Amino acid sequence: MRSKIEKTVPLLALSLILLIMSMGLAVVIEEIMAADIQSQVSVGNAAPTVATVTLNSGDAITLVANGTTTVLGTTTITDSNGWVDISHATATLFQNGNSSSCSTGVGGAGRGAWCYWMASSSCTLGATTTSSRIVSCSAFVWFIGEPTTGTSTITGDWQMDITAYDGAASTSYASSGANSVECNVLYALNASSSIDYGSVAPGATSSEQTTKITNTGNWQIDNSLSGVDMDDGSVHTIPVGQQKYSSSSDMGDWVGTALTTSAAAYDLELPRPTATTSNSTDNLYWMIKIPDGQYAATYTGTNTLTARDAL
Amino acid sequence: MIKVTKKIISYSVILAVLLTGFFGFLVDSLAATGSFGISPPYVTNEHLIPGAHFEQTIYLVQDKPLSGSKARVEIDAPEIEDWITIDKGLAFPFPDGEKKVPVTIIVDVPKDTEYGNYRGFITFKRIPPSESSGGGVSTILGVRADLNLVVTEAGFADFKVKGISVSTIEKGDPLAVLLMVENTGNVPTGPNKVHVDIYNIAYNDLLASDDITDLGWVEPFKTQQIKGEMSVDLDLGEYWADVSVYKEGESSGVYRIHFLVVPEGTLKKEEEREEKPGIFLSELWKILLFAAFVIIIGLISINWEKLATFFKKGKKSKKKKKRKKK
Repeated sequence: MRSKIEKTVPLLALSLILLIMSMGLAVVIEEIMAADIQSQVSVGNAAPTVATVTLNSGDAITLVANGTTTVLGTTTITDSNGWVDISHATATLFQNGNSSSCSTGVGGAGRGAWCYWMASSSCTLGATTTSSRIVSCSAFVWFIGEPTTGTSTITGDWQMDITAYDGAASTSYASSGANSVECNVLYALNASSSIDYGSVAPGATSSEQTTKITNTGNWQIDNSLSGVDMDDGSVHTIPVGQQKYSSSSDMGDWVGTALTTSAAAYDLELPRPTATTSNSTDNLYWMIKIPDGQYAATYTGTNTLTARDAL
Repeated sequence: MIKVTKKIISYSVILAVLLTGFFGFLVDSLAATGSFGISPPYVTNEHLIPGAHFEQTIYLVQDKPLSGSKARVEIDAPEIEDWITIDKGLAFPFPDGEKKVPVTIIVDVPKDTEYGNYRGFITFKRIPPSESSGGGVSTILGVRADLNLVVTEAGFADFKVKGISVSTIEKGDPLAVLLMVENTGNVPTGPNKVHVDIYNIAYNDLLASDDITDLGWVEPFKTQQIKGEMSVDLDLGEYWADVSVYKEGESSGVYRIHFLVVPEGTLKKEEEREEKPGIFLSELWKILLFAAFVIIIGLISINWEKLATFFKKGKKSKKKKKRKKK
């Protein structure tokens, strides 16, 4: 049985080789015998075409206080020379109510209030068909991004333009156009986490303490202030109204607005920041007067600073 | 002497670096607990009718999420407090590490509400894991959303198109245009017309053009997908569709969308594949069976001599048995 197989295998292999050679010979003869007509065509380059950009899934942009938020634009690029001819894409994300042009480098290398330029490294080419590729471009938008809704007086929307490049450096671009989205107003703040009045004798007032408040949103804000009675963890309390505050550093001997348990609006004037390291800050000064006969203990309490619309 | 000086300089540099790092950390931790914000800072609807249901999502945002911190919600709107529900309740923990926390404000206007403008505000306070430590006063941060609700008898129709897509179709099927529409009015509404121009993939030849008018409606203050269909006779391949959406007779913009025409049955097969993973498993079984077959053949070829000997022995013993019987 084995010897039979050993004899058959080389024969089969030889037959297969002869069959392939015959087929090849047939093809060559067919070419030689064919009419002597030579056809030639040169396929030219076609510029890519870009679909309307879908920006942030059609939702308004919501920013993150004192940080960045990722805004994604996606579209489809086609090229009649096939998807392999699509080489890369770049993009701009900008607030289109601004009369200036958003291009490379504008907006402080992508840190602007209204313009972000994305290099090809920020645009990822994805799924393909015969002639198309999906592209996604992402921008990291800072908290100072210009708002276009609500109390904002800034006109326009945010849109993304994506430019596609092919192997021959032909370009084409499309914008989110009708898919432009708004950017929401963001009220946000940051403040010192505590006020330490130190050791104060009954009947005396503390020294002035300072709370630095920073506007970390994208629109002007003011504050509402409230607090609770301070206590020693036992039965002794210092009424909330013994704390006073002022935007002036000259509180003299306890001059200012008495803190209340219900929120009271206070005009601090924190304008809209225009830099990524917020340039909108203000100081709030505090003093406490300890009532006569106050029980000696360490007292703690909580004050609340609330960001609200400008007064 | 030089060695000693070098050592002093190097130790000084190390010490300076360590001290800078330590004080930097200290200043940072003492300075603040991170920013806290709200976006958008309002809940507004100027077209509510008695009995209306309306929802709006706002985001509480923070740059340095504090583990274990909570939100406390206070509604200050005496006339309309009963209309308002917060999806997460009046106290809820901030999810660890989340910089954006969505909160949905649900407004249910009672049917017997008088027409008018109702105002108020909602305050969100971020309560750190420990409100106060040691002596002194802890500062907690809050943000405020203004409420501005107008109850009216007037009907108001308006909408926003949040997205458009054109599905891949099988040859012979109608073209399906899908629109994600947000009804911002208080009556059912939607686009009254969508115009579609179909181009070849090179975008230089207009192949078909038509209006779609039967699109359906979106309920008040809801976001829904609506669908329109257009009969087409396209060969297999890739195409462009320029879709114009009409609001009260005016185009609100043109959307250029890429789509495919695939052979009949392709989408059904894909759907079946997604719905019935068993089909995939049966294919897997085929692969496994083939692999097993290859392994068996391999083993046979490796141990060919042993097998041949075994079969020869078997034949001899059978012959012997036959002889014995005879």
